[in-house]
Amino acid sequence: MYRYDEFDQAFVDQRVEQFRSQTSRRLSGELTEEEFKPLRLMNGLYLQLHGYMLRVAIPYGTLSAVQMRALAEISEKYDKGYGHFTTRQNIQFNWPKLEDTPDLLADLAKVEMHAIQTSGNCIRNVTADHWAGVAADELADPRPVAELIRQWSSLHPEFSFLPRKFKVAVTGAPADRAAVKLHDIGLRLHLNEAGERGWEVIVGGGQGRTPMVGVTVRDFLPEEELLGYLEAIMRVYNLFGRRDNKYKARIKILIHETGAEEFSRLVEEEYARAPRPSVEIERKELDRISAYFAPPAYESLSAVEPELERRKLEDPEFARWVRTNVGAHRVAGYGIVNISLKPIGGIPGDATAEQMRTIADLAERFSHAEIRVSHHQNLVLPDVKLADLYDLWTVLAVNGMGEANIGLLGDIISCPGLDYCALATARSIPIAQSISRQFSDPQRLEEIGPLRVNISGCINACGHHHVGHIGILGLEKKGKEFYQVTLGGHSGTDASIGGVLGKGFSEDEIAGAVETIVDTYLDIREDGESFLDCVRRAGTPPFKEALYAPA
Amino acid sequence: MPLLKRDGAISDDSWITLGDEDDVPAVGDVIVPHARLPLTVPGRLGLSLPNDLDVSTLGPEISQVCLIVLTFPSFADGRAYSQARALRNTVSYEGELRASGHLLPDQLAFMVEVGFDSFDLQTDRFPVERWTQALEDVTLTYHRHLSRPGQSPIITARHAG
Repeated sequence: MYRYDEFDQAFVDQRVEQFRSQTSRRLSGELTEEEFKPLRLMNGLYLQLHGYMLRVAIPYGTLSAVQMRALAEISEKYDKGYGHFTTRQNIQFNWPKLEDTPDLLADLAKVEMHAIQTSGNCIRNVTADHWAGVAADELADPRPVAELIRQWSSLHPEFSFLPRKFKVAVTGAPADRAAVKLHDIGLRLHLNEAGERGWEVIVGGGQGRTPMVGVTVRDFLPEEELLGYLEAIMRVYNLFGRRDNKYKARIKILIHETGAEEFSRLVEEEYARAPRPSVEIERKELDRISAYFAPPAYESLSAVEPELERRKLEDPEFARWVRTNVGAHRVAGYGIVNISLKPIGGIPGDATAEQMRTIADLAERFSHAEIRVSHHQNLVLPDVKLADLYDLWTVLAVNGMGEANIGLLGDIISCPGLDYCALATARSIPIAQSISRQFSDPQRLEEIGPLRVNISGCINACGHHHVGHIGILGLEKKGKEFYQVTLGGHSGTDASIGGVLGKGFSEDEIAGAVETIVDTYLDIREDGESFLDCVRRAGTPPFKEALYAPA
Repeated sequence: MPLLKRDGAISDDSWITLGDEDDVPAVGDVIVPHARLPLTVPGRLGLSLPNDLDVSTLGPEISQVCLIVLTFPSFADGRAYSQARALRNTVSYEGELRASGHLLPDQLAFMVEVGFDSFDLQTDRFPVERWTQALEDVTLTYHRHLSRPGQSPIITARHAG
């Protein structure tokens, strides 16, 4: 993975000192809260319901065992001994004190980490396919480009006070695991007949109050032109994006109101007008970065591991976990281990310091010391030998991380909701917990098959409810929380936004409503038909009928 | 209002800012709104632009301009950063570029990088030392087309030689 050189390190160190000065000026009263706000947000520090929350960037979701251990230590030193992995592949700490945050950032800098641009109206931490570099279907590792974008977007002088936040996601695989159509800019790698790389540029996707699937403005942008072209998009957005209403300030609204064709014309015009510097340095820089992502020395192994097969026969629980949680690796004899942070009745994405250390140890023992965070709020060990799976699983299971539910109904995405968040209108964690308890039988989960339940505690949609196969949105009316259900959302290559079913449900009813939806699906599904395919074929009527028809 | 130059020098602002209707004085350098161009003035001519103006539409009238003032109605409204870059890169404006309005010391480094040379200071909000110190806070940049004079951006330093 990428390592800082002396420039990256000095850059982050300077930034910590700058924030130390800003914090002391806030504490002394020289800066008003209004003036301090954009400065602290540029360093990931939010003011939440109960106090400050610090969001730490995990660029493109990749971190080392050493970094994971540092996060564990930070959670104990400055917080309550746990952290929350987010849908943006980051981690947040919910209880730091303002006066401690400069030291916290300094501790992060020691392990080449920071909180720059994890909030604020700037280009946010770039996200990527969590299986980058190891997925069997991948054309090439997208992370060198993600790292190039990370550096380019870090404290970008022109684009740090945009109309609104700006999110970029990249994938190097045809199967979209990074939700590239649901970001302000999504980049998908293609190869032409000569084997050269080009990037499909998708703009204007997003969730929030106005969910939209992005539109492609370039089918095949040569890799060296990427930064220049991104600047043209950003400039058009910075100059013409709406600033009169924060809910209409994202680039998707600009594209919607100008029209995709006109927007694309403006970008092309800006791109043609901007001076075209030599791209030689970009090429050199990409080559330099790419060297850090060279594949590790894999052993030459057989695709079938007899020891694994024997263990699977002996232990059906283990066999199930292998079926649900281990993804296809591009190298024979290896697997991609997806570690569920969704224990039954637990808080999606939370990990204790002890669990973080366990993961760090396991990564060092079994996976070249590398870890990934997925936008589903799970962790990934990307390079595990099939022969090691059983030993790995045993350790996970005794540490509360052995749940066999990846991609299944128990693998619920949830925002922090009203338990933590100042924007939330309803609680979302308790809803996730009650649904998770309702569907606690792993055998049943597997019978139901792939099904994503996503829960947001307000219309800002941090819990990605718009793209949940079953989406749940927590709202509030006259002091009472209630939950609206959508069906048919999806964040993959064939992305779609879910449609609202009808009247909302109370906290006590919502798990039962999910049960009814699932039962209806099991009733009407055709042979081998997934939940999503079934909803797409049958539409919402059978589900509405089951939920709302008078008994 | 005192004026800060990007090299850290502080001076009094000698320019006279005129509105749409104000008479041109007999002597002195004046700053006028764009709509008043072309205009004959006794000294040097400066131009004040609103931040929703598309600077790529500026024509040959700016060849007589020695100063362009860009406005930040709020520190959070970042349009003038892109205007500054467009003036430097696509309009090839080489005169003085000044930032005015609601500025924060913590934004100066960004402003210098996109091409601003001078800043109208709000010394009632922050002491002068805070402004001059802010120019030194972050000296490293990843942006190779955007470094300050005398500063080497990271990407160029990495691949030098």
